[in-house]
Amino acid sequence: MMEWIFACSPPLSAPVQKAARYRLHFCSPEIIRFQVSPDAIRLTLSTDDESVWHEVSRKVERVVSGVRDGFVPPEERLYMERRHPSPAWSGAGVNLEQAGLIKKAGEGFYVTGPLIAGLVERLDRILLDMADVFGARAVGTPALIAPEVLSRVDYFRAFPHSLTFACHLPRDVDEIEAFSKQPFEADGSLAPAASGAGAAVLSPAVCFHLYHFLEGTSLGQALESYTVRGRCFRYEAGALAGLERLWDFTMREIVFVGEQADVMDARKRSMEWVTDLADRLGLVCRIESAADPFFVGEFKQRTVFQAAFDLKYEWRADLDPAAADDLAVGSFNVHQTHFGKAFRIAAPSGEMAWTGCTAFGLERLALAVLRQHGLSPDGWPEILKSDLSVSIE
Amino acid sequence: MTGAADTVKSFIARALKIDESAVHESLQLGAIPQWDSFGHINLMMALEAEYGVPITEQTVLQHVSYAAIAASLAALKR
Repeated sequence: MMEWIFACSPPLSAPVQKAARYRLHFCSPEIIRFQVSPDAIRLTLSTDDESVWHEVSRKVERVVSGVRDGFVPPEERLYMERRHPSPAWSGAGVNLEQAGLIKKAGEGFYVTGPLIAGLVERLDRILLDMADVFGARAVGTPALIAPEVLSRVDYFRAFPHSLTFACHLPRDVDEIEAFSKQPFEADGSLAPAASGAGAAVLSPAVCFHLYHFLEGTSLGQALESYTVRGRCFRYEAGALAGLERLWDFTMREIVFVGEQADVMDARKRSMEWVTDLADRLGLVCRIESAADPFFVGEFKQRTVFQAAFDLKYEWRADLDPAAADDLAVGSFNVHQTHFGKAFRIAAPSGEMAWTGCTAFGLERLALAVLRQHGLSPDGWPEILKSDLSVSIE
Repeated sequence: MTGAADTVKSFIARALKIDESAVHESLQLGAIPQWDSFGHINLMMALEAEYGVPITEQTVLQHVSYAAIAASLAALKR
């Protein structure tokens, strides 16, 4: 092992530190841990081999310069902020695994027990009320997505670090039998035969399937709304942490497809609806402008573009009473004609369709409720205690 | 056509990877398939790389037409 300090000059601003911290998780497998401060990045490497040190140094330099040179201070737009006095914060700081409410099933994925699974279902049913407001029709989507579809939406360039590939054993009887006899290597890892990239990817979002479904169609109305719920997969390396940042999570989306003005209006209405929901949930939270976690090479141009054209807002809820930690529990996105063009979806005007989606991470939303209102349903807001025919006992 | 107009035409054509004959004075973001969201990103990157115009929210929103880009490049030359 080796400790190493990477000096940062000029010093890194707080937003750049945050951006660097996330991306350093994907920098090198030789980095065991790191600490980012304005003046330096302190790294612990797995080896004291000098050649490895040079290689890691080059990669750290690339990541840090990528986010520092590419960082453009965003103009923060606050859509709403709620400072409800009601939360007891009795769930803040509670270790959900030690409390027996979740069970770690692997790095970044958890089994949720009845309390949290029931809360997720109740929250989802409330969100379906919003889908009803928009007349959204339900669409079913698979967990797997074809690489070709992800390529068409430019996902490989924007978020290559978060991809999760589905793989299978080679169609070879010898290799299949060898794997069945010895699926693990001596170090506990899966045998190499099971680690190749396959012909599918585990989908990082559910709305991509919908745009693919609509491929080549002409919309009959100025606004068509759909709702989709599914599992999503985003690998976050060392940033994976409890229910806050899962590799495998559940997303509910309300998706809007249509003319520009109608999609923009739908997003605005969805933000109004969520503002009302935040009040009913009594959540300390805000809706503010945001940017997606683009990877280093695409960081600058994409974040600036998102900010300039007001394409993304996040619904962020506090996780502790000091507001030191918050979490995006939902997002409000407009994609302009990005997906309309990729899948040749025409609006009634004959122009390429605009799309937008309002999306919720269900486990994250449940976590915010638990942190702020506690682990006992008795302390939850009325909206979560009314009869929703989902047992949490 | 003036040399300045040639420069603007050539710059936009290169950044958007289109033929110069497709570039005209009323061209703007969204008017042609190549000048879409991603084309615009490329255009802004080129503007920064070739003319040192920093990418900010303001510059992204400002340079949405041939006329705006021409005005910026003219101002830079003064």
